[in-house]
Amino acid sequence: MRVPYRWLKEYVDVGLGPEELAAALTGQGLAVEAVERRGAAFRGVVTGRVLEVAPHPNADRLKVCLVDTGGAEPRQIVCGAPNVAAGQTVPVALPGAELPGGVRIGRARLRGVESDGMICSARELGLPDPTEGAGIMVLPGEHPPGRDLGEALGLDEAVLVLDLTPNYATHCQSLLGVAREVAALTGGAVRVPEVRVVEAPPAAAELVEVAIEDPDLCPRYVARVIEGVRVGPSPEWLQRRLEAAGMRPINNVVDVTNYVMLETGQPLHAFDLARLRAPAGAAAGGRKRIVVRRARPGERLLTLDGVERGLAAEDLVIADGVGPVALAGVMGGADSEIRAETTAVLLESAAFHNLTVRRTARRLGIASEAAARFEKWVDPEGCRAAADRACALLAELAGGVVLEGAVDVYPRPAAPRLVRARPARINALLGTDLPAEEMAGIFRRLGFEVRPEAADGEMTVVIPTRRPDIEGEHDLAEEVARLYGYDRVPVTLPRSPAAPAPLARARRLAEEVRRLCLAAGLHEVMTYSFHDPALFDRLGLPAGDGRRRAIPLANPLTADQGVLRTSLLPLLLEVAATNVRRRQEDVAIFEVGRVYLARSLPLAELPEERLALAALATGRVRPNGWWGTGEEADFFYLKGVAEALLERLGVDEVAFRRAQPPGYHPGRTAEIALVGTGEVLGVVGEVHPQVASAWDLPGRVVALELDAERLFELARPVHAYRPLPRYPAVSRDLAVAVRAEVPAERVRQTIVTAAGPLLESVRLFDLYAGPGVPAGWRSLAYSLVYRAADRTLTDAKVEEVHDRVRRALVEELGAELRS
Amino acid sequence: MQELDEIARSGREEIEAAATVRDLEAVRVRYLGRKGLLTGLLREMGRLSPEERPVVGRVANEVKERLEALLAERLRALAAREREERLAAEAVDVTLPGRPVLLGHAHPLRVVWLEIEEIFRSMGYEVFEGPEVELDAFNFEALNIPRGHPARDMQDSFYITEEILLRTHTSPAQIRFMRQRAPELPVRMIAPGRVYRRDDDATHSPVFHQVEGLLVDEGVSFADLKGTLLAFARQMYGEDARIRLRPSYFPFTEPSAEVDVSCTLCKGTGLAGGQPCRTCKGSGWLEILGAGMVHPVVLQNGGYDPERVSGFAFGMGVERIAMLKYGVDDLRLFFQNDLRFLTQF
Repeated sequence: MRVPYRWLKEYVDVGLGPEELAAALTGQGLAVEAVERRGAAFRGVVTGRVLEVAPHPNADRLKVCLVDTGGAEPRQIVCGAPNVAAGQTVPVALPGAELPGGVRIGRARLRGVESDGMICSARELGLPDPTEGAGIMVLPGEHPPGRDLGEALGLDEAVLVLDLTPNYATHCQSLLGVAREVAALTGGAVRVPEVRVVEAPPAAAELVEVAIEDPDLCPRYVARVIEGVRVGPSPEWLQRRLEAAGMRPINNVVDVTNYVMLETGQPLHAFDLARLRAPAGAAAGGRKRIVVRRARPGERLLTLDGVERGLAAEDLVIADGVGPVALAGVMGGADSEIRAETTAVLLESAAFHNLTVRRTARRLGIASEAAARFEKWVDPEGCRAAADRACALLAELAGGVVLEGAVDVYPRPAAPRLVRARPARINALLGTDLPAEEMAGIFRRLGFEVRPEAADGEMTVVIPTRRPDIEGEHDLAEEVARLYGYDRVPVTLPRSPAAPAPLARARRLAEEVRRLCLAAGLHEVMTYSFHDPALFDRLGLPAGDGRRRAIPLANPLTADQGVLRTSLLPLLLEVAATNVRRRQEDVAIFEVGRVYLARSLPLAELPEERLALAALATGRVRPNGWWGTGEEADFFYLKGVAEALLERLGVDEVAFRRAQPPGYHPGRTAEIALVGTGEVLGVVGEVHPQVASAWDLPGRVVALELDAERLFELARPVHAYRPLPRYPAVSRDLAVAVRAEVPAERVRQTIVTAAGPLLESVRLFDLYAGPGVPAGWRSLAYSLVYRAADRTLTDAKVEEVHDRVRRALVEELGAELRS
Repeated sequence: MQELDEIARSGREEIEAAATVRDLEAVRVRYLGRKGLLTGLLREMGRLSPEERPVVGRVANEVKERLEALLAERLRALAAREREERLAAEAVDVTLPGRPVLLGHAHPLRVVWLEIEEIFRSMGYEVFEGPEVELDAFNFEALNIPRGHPARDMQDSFYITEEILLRTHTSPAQIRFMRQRAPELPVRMIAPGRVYRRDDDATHSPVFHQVEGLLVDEGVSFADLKGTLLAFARQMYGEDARIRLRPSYFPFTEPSAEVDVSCTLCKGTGLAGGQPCRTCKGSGWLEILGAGMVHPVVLQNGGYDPERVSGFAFGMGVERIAMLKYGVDDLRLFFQNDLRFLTQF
């Protein structure tokens, strides 16, 4: 909503400059986005009277003009516009002038002729250009030469640009509405223009009848008739005001309807009465009929903007005796629009159901000023006054004769709402201590009638129909707060005592896991919750894979945001690909985030949102440096991270079992499973080279995926303290060669089982294959620590146990002892 | 006796001449070793007369003690010198870079999220996380936004079915939490999480994060809301932070407010280095959150009687706060996850 400051002052005494007013209105809830001064786009441009136009001696297309710009001598200016003519008043950019876009005008020689300035087109001045750049701007009306153009056009006026929230859009989309807010601020009075309509017979009702088929969608329809209008341009002042408010002047009839809409907030529509059709079979010269109804199947309407629209049953239309002539509250039809030859006008001033207008405007993609008002709120009580105001202006500005009376169909009269206000309750809600009289004063300044009731200050407030946003006491509390001033409300703290709130266990564990990932050198990423369903193919998921049961969005912004993620892996691959593409080849990342798992598809109930953890690394996880070579991301890097996580969460009894899940390298991938039940908690492995290359990732890529939520259920992060040993330990190293296909875990298990309780720890410290070890075999070297909790172990005892271990390795695994 | 004098003299000279610990050890062996000169001399004491023996013995012991003392002193000196030389030879180039400690970087949005959460947790707000895939009934209807309500214009939503959508704000958590708690008082909740809107440009992301706050109790006032948000702003932005509330509109609060904090860069002056401050565009204020008194309809939908209790609610954008905190001007950077960006935090 654009509010020209000077225009606003016609309706209310302001007493503040534009900027001060803007700040005050913003503080009151009408956010002023900007205070615009339209003249600022150019400087040094004045009005000039063209005295003479002569051909240019050296150029056919150019003309040499003598222009009076108010100085002692006329200026000689070369002009190339075809429409320049003696007698015109035109904008002249004097030497030194500045035009929009920083263009500076100087003295120039054009084809050998001096030009002391430039005659401008509207486009060059950044103004709406009816010639569309084809000619210079010709100012209508009389202007003394040499006047500042901005002043002459009224462009120097400040315009407050309001960004209205929906609650104020109901009653502040008009100058009078804003004036009422100003009055509430200053305590001044609003000056509603006085309207006196001179009427002449016959009565409008003799020419027009109005029927409303669905009163819920059209609570009121006022039609008035004006005859004998002469369509032509509006006077200068009116055009300037419309432009300042952001509307384009069209002709005097249309301009008056727009002017009254801007003034009152009531959109009006003018039909060419002669073009409205009587019902078939009606007598010639009979009454025209206006019907407000829903559109019928197959109906079409060519709207004012020249677009033929197919109508839907939800659209409300204005029909004449034959068919639709306007989309109610949205846009008029082209057939009945006001033309140069129009003489009789049917003026519509109605109230339409806001949601119906909104639906139609949205469906058809029409953003008209009328719709912007109807889809919020138009006060049915204001229809008649707005119609009268327009009639008076049409009589004055278009020479029309207003026929007697109006056809006013008002099936759903709007009644003021009565709202009880309890000052004690409002004070309690606001934390203020305002006397009841002060609140009543605020209500009165807003134009509400206040009826005092009980002695404790309770009152009934009569809310006028123009304020549908005020429904209850809490709304009145807001009126009090905003007019008293939010900044004057005291600052206190809630009375209820507050001890710091604990964090839920799952969240605490999630933070623990995040910290651990960070400590492991993984960077945290945050990816979108949705992705391209094609990524499932890229990941090589087979048709039946559960992850493909992703929830599709009904209205994604783009196809690559089509489904909700069921796994974090494809999104981490995307992040890795982005970084590698940008020459960040070493990537080590993780995300802790939700995945969205449908219980059924299409969704009949809310899906399961499950916390997942995924990590991914490629390139080097430890850089090369002067200290030596770094470390490449490989399976064991992320397996180490997984082991650390599981240990920290106290989830032991977990095994890493070779597995071949889709998307992963068949030989370098393990499932992470509970030992007892075999329940799989996650996967760690190298991403299948084909998948990596599908994401243009050149090196090896490793990934870890864990069901974080399940992990947290299993977590036993707090365990009992183990006393420090009181007796010495004995270490023994042991190297064995086994066939390469014997898993290290089996060797370890064999040692543990054979050694029994005296074995405190076993650590693989070397792995070797090569000369000295038979082909197809490898050598594993372990460091074993033996200890008894209750005594010092004797050498003999250690030897006995260690021998048992050695024998078990030989007997059970066919191992060859190397030490 | 003469020999003893001679041993004492030459011994002292040799001890002084020894240049290394090893040389010194050789001297010791030569004089005091099992076959050393002094040892040899003492062994021959048996041949002396009983009168001479005690005298010579005493002198010999004196010589021995003197030499031992000299040896010890010399050893200390030599050892100290040798240690110094060794340490000097061990010197490293301390300007070489250290071996890197590879710590991951937390995502800036998470950092800010946790910071906000922590502040409110310390004020007694319990963390609650509702679903992101939400019922229209919770996201809109229960929050006083019926179908066709103009406020739905402000939030173009991602739908999954007619009734199920991606939540457009964290406010449905208000309803879910109240229903869980009713009729218990006070209700004190902070609900951080992801939200979604159909918008994608430098200042809008289809996925972003909010933190919702809610307090319901008897006698909670708008003044309490101001106090709580001021306490938050001071913890988040420093003790000198100020806040400003402007009237605004949310269907689920009444009265409603936009809340500004004094600009973190120019401290609310609007000027930075004599120029209009770029962070707040010269206004001195930064809009950080929306807030208000919980609408009676919402209290009712949460299972509380608006005649008996009142409450306030607020919601803030994590991205917005992170952008202001770090001076990030393009929202999309947070989700591109470029490591050159992430590793700055």
